[in-house]
Order: sequence, then C-alpha cells, then structure tokens
Amino acid sequence: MYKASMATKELVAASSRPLVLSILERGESYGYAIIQEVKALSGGELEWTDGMLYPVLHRLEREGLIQSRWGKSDTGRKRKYYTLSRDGGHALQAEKAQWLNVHNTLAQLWGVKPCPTI
Amino acid sequence: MPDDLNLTIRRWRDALACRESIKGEQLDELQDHLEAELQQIPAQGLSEEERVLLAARRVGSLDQLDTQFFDANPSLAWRRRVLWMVIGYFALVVLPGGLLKLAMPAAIFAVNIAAPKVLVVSGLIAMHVAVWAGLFFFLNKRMKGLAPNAKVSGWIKSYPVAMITMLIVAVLVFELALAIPMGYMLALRGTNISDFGTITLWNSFMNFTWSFLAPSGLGFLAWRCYRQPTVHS
Repeated sequence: MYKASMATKELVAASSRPLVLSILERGESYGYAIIQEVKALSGGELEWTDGMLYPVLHRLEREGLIQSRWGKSDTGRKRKYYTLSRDGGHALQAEKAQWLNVHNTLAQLWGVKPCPTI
Repeated sequence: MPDDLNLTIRRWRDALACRESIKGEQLDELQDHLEAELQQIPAQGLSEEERVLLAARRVGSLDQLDTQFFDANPSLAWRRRVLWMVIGYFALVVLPGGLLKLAMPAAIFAVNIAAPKVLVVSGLIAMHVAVWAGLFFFLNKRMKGLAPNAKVSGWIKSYPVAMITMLIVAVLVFELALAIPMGYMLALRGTNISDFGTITLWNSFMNFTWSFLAPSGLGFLAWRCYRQPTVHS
C-alpha cells in the first residue's frame, strides 16, 4: 500500500550509507542490531529490507570506512561485529555536510526552519 | 535447539549457498541474522518450520538477497562472464578433442572385436551419463552441506568451476582407465592405429555429443540446485 511519508527505494538506498556510518559512530554493532536501530529511529518510515544492509556493510568495509571482527552473540552464535574506522569518521563528516546542505536548501524553499550546519 | 529447527535453518542456508553471489562468511552472517529474527518470533501456536519461514521472510527472499549481494559486487558480473566464456570454450573445443582421444582406443577395440557399432555408440553414451551422474552426485553432496565450512566451498559451489574440474578429472580417469589397457592390448595384437578408417565419423559424433551434453548438463545442475526444498516461500 502506498504511504505518502514512506521514503522511496532510491532515498532509502542513498541514506543507508550515512545511516550505517552514524550508527557505528556510536560504537560497535552488528547487522541485526543496526537494522533494528534504523527501524526504531525512523519510526518505521525508513523501511529497510534486512538483506539490503549486508552489501552496504561489505562495501563500506572494502572501502576501509568500517572494520569487522568475528565474535560470539549472547547465545554463543558466530556473529560479525563492525566498528567505524578513522577514514570512516572522515567520510561521515563529509556525508553530514552533504546531507545538511540538501536539507537546508530544501528548507529554505519550503520556508521551514533550517538545521544548523556543522 | 531442536533438531528439526536446525534442519530447517540448514535448508534455508543451503538454498542460499546455491546462489553464486553469497558465499562463505556471508552465509554465517545471514544465518546469524535469521536466528536473531527467529528469537523475536513467539514459539506459541507456531511450528518450528513456520517460525523459520516467518524469519526468512523478514530477512528477504532468496532472489532479493542474491540480487542485492550481486549488485554490491561488480567483480562477480565479470567472473560470471569469464566463466561462461571458459565453459563455452571447453564445451566446443577442448572436450571434443579430449574425448576423441578416449574414443579412439575404444573404437579400435570395437572394430577389433567386431562389435556392432550401435553397441559402441551406446557404450559411449553410457560413459557420458556416468560422467554427469558422478557430477550430480558430487554437487548434491555439497548442496546437502556435507562440507559447508571447507575452505574451497565458496569456490567449488559455482557450477561452472565444479563442472570443469569434474570433467577434467573424468577425462583423465577415463583416459587412464581405458587408453592404457586398450593400447597395451592393441600393442599385443599388433594393430596399427591408422587402420581405423571411420575416424571422421567418430570425430563428428564426439563434437556433437560434447557440445550438446556440456551445456545441457549445466542447465540441469542449475535447475537442480534452485529447486532444492527450502523454507523460502
């Protein structure tokens, strides 16, 4: 069913990168937890298919923006944990600037209050 | 964890492992995700299989996962192209040549024992069937997860690679098993290889069978893998 406030597929895909980097900036995490966090923060408006996240994570890892290690879950399962790398921190700053630029441009056009830039 | 739950998860994982774009540790990661989803699904009123089915739906369909992983890895597209080129080359050039070598001692033998040609042809067809049956058996074992964590599993699970490997092995084995005793026997009987006059007939027969059988066998393999019973709806 079409829901006006739901982000389009393209927007979801484009925002996945800054979202993942921002969540990992808060500390180490793993796939399932990252998805739960996105769902909770967006109030369900950003609908991620679960499988979409892993290619994003693997790409960020190849680019050296995040690092991974294999650990164990609380129930003893093998689990892959990700952390933000130093380069990832820089990339996140660049992403922030870009997204706020877009946001502020639109905010001016729509006459809503812009966000502070960084 | 109950056994049937493990088995259902295993089936899901095996179906996923069939997909070329998802391999090795990515499978472990997705399985962890599936099991994390599973924990959120209440056990009351649902069978274990139904719970896995629900969790698998949340993770995404196999096609969806395959596409997403494939798109995220551009080198896969090239690997796939190159592999198909190699397969084409093998199917049309190398294998007919290799099999012709195999067919010769058998054919010479057939001429020498004066067996009807139809018998020889059926024998050769049976040989093809044996090669492919061995290959299916091998892949089937692999798909049932007998060696899911072996280092080579990601590599060997790609059918093109498995097929080429198996055929090379098969050609070598048949060559050793057939050509050596045949050659020895012929040498004992003093037969000259050039006596064999219908070589061109055999040549075209071999070319035809190999170029036809290799792709059709490959198609069958792909079909078998993708129709594996799975919890994915």
